[in-house]
Amino acid sequence: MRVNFIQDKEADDISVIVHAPSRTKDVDELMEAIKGFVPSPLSGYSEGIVTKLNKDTIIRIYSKDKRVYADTLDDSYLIKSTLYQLEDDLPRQFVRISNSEIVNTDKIIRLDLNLAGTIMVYLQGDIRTRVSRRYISKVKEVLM
Amino acid sequence: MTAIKDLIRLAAVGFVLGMIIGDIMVVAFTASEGISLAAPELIEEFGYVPAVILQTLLSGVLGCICFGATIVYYKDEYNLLEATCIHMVIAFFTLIPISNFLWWTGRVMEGNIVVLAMGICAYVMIWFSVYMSYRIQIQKINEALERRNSGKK
Repeated sequence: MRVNFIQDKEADDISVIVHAPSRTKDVDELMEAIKGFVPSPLSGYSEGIVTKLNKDTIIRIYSKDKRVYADTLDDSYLIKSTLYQLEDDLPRQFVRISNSEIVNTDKIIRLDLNLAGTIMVYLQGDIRTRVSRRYISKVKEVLM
Repeated sequence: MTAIKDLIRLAAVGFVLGMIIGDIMVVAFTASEGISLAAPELIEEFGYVPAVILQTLLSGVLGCICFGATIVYYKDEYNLLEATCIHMVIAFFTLIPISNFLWWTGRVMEGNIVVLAMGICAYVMIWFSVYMSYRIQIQKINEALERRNSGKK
């Protein structure tokens, strides 16, 4: 079996095409294995328990009191990495919205601007947080 | 550290721009009575060369403070309205004494009121144009989000 990589800067996600002379049991098993693949999860700590967090389930990652937390729909987890390190490791759907926060764009419901000029982002899980004006063009770039 | 560097960079650019803009404005306003690089009253008070030096340097100081103060727009802790108000207060506290000293306002209350009124109008326009530019960007982002979310359903 040969494994090749083709770079596509236009692609918004990883896409795998299996080339084979015919669809055999081996091919089906391979495709199932690929479908079940979870990108290297993040280790989240909550009440002393370590949980492997699927990055797709993370709503936002933020720093508070010099600690980094990741929020999912179920819980909030302590992450033992800096936002700076995470920014490089996270998939493309994550975008920095301020010096202290990165959000999953798949979990954004909408953005709002009030008369005072404060930009708020509404996320799944009833989360509302502030977007820095400096990062708004970056958010736009990821979403458009 | 980056904020201090940014402040120094903005202030330096502002100083140069302030000197150029200040001199151009004085030339434009005195053009009808013969081109001069300082207000006639200032020349009368200090003599031509010191008046021109004072006019140029103080215009630079005004530009330095006003341009340097734009750093508030980069600060996350201030929203757009707060940043605009802070900048306006800093600019007025610098502009009023300098413009009086340089005889731009004729050192009369009416002159100061005109400067204040023009300044407030300018700041309302700045706030409105920046606000609208963000509003348009956010509208586009929300449209993109709607397209994405409807595609997932």
